[in-house]
Amino acid sequence: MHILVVDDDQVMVELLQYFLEEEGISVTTANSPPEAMNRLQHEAVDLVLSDLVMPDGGGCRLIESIHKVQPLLPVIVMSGYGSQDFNYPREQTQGFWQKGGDINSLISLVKRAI
Amino acid sequence: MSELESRIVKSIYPRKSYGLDRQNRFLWFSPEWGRESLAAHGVEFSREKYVGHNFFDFLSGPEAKLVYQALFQVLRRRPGPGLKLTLRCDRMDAKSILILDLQSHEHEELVVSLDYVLIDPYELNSAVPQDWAAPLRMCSWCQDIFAEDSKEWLPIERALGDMFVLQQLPIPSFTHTCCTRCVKIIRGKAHAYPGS
Repeated sequence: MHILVVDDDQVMVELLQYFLEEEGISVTTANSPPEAMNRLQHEAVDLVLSDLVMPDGGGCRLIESIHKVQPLLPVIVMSGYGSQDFNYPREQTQGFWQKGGDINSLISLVKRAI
Repeated sequence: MSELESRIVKSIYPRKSYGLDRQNRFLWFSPEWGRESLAAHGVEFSREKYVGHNFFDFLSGPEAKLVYQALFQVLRRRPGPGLKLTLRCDRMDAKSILILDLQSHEHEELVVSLDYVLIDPYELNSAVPQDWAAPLRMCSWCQDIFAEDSKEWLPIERALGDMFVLQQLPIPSFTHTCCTRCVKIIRGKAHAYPGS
């Protein structure tokens, strides 16, 4: 299982990478949507876990971009804001995780989505 | 008394309060709400419009919601003397400063008391010299905020109070991270997470 974690905050990226790798999941990281799209061109991933609020278009645009090139690739989104605070394409995602929540629930979400 | 409070021009309305249950639904309103409504708008205050409804349904903008959610989380996690902070309030009828007093009670109930005070808008502008082009970094777990000038994590009420952050237009955005203390705590609990 190989996951792309996208967040402009490096601390969050490293924290999530640590927990996912503890679960035996291999992780590639990106700090921006353009970097994420570049990773996707060169690596096969099973799921994208992406922050919603980022520079360079943010997570919403990233979801759209991924959907255009790999419409079947599962995407889970996360944010410190509530999911109801965003108008993101929910039908193109497999779940929402609120930062600050139980990491256990994020792991479960990831496993269900793949 | 803060610098801002010392420059308050006058109070607009009497101090008033409301209570919230653990799901942030309005429980009660103090009588001052009714008096203010009559005096300011000439209509009775409609408690039934609010009681039983969620506080966050009446807020607009993700940043304002985020700040209140963070404050409520901190209060419920850390009952004690409560929190006091000043926020900008862009009411339709008066630009003002909102002084909030938040207390946590039994069963995670919260009591929010507030004063609207007028302040000279020029005074207000001179009180907020900071440039909030960059989003504020908030820890998603403990809600502390990183102060870029002193390079330290501050409790939310102190960070917001010190920075006059919500008196700015627009309200700055937040970016969510994990503070150094929570990284240590969370990573220390790794064994308790799935697979174990």
